[in-house]
Amino acid sequence: MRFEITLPLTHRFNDHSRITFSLEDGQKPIIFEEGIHYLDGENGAGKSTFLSILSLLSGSVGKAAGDESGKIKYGREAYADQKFDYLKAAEIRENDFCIFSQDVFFLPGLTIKENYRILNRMNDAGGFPSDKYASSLSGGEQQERFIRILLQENKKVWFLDEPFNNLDQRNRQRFWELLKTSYSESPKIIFLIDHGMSNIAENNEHFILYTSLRVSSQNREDDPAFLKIYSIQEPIKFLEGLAVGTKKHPN
Amino acid sequence: MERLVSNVKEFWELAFVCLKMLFRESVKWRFILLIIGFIFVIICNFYNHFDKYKKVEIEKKNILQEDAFKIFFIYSLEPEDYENLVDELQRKLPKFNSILIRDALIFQKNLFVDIESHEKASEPLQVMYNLFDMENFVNGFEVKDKKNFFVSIKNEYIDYNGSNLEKKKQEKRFRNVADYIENFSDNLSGKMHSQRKIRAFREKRNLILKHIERVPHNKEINPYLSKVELIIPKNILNIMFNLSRLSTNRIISGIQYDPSDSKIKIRQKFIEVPEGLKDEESYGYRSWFPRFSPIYMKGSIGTVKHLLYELMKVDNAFMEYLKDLHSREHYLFSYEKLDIMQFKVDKINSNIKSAQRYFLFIDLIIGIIFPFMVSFFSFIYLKKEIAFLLFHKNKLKLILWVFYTLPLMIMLVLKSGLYMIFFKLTFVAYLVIPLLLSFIFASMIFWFINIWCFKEFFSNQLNLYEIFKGK
Repeated sequence: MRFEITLPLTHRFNDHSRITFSLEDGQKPIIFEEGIHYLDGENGAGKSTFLSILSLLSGSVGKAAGDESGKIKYGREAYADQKFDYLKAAEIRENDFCIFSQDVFFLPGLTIKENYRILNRMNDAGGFPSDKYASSLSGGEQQERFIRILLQENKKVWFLDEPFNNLDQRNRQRFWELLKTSYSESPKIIFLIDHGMSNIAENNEHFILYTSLRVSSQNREDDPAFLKIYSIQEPIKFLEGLAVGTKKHPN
Repeated sequence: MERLVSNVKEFWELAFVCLKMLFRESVKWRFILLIIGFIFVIICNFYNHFDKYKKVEIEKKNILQEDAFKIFFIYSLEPEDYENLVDELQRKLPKFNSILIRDALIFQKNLFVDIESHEKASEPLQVMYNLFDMENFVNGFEVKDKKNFFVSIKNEYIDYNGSNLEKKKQEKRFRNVADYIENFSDNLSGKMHSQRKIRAFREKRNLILKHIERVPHNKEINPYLSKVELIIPKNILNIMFNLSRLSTNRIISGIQYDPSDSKIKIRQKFIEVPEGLKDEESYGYRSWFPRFSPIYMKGSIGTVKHLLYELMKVDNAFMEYLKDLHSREHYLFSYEKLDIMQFKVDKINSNIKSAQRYFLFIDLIIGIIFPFMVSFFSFIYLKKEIAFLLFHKNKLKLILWVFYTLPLMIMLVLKSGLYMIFFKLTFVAYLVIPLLLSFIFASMIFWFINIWCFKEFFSNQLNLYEIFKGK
């Protein structure tokens, strides 16, 4: 599986606001294959928006996709294909995508176990106690449970948008360990956003700049932001380093 | 089959989850208030309907029980005319389940009617008594003697509509009737050969007419028969007819008058319709023409079921027949009654239909608005949750189906529960079909409303991320 994106890619939020991703040098397609892809950029650079479009949470698909909005292809599925629609999008999300979208969120009124059952596996309790509500846990504990609920090893693409908020050192290492184990067993396409890594991305041996996207919106026509996408080299080794808390860990 | 079972299981699990989210601490009271509001509106609508139902049922019952709409007096000018009419009526009335009452007639605005005891009186005659408020009069008319051959009868007549007249006018009206009776008896005595017998006969006649007492009718007069002046027991004529057939001695001994209680003591069979006249077409005293003869039609107004109620229905064929008789100079004593009947029935039917329409219309509106409110409420308070759910699960159709069926199920349970708790099952049974139709119609409309409510999730313009972020 891979993503193939033809730029410029425009996403309209409504009639008055839009955001466009384009390449500085030519408009050749960018391709994301198995591996870890780190998205870096200042606030408002459109990192989360870019991921939300790739993960089929935002953007126009099928007949609603205009010619000027760019083209995204996931495997054989072209988002702008006339036969592609919101139902197909939902099917792909369920089968292939693991989406961690910044905020920890539990379905309200339900226990953590019920959240697990409805979001992950209907017939599995996931080892959660049946009477624990998220509100009874600390922020870090909530995040840890949230990650356990959402991440499914069998899925091919993981969108990880700032998964480390509220996690302490120990839990971060556990997270990297989980990621490493999962990746080792079945390599995936992982998109990662984490502000903590941005300081080291430019000088770290694992981070290779793949592309830099020019991000313009109606508010920033004259002052565009840039979204840098790094490909992580030797991802297992990289994750191993993070999992044991080596010197390579950004924090 | 396996897939169906799995889908049903998944549906209930998702419905349960959605309900739990709607009943979460921060939202549950708003949701409960919405349901309480719905219950309140249903109860108001039903009580309003029930109130109208009661009123219209009372009106309907009054009309169905109105005896004036069961008895119709038909005019005949002369005996031949009457005989032809009777001949025709005997052929035609059975088709309408109707009957000619031969025990009564109206002559010169006075009703002559046989007074018979409750056990002996036919149903039409009893209705007639009821129509003229004569029950007490009839019940006290005849007291059987110990020997059982003799009876004591009241020597009275009813002044039906003359209670407010001056006494002189009242007496004059009776005097006119007395003259007819005298003429009638003179005709009978004219055939007698013995002067002694004639004297005896006239003496008895005078005895009756001299001592007969006026009973004022102090109750409300039936508006359809307000022209009737006096009600005379036709038994007086029977007595005279029977006496005229007796020997002089039996005439003298066969009838006695006791001034102390204004009663006539007489052999029972003398007050009854004379033997041999019962089956004759001319029965009813040939000389008394023109006259109005009563027809009894129990089902002139019936009922037919219509949705929640029974509508009233005039027997049009019978009415047409009466109008036809009227046009052939067999006038109705009160022709306007036919139009009034039709008018009243139309008015009540219109009220019934309007009450039904109002009730079902409101029920339909509630049936659309309530699920719409629940659906809209769910969208407002659960859109972030649904968006989040759709990040991970392909449950679009299931969600739409849950929020379509959930409000409908809540509504169905609440409505049927309320109706069963507060009202009699028999009454609710009338409502089942129309309410079911209303429910189905509301469900059909709600299908599109529900799609509209959740349309943000059903678009090729994906915006789950924006919804989740509250943008």
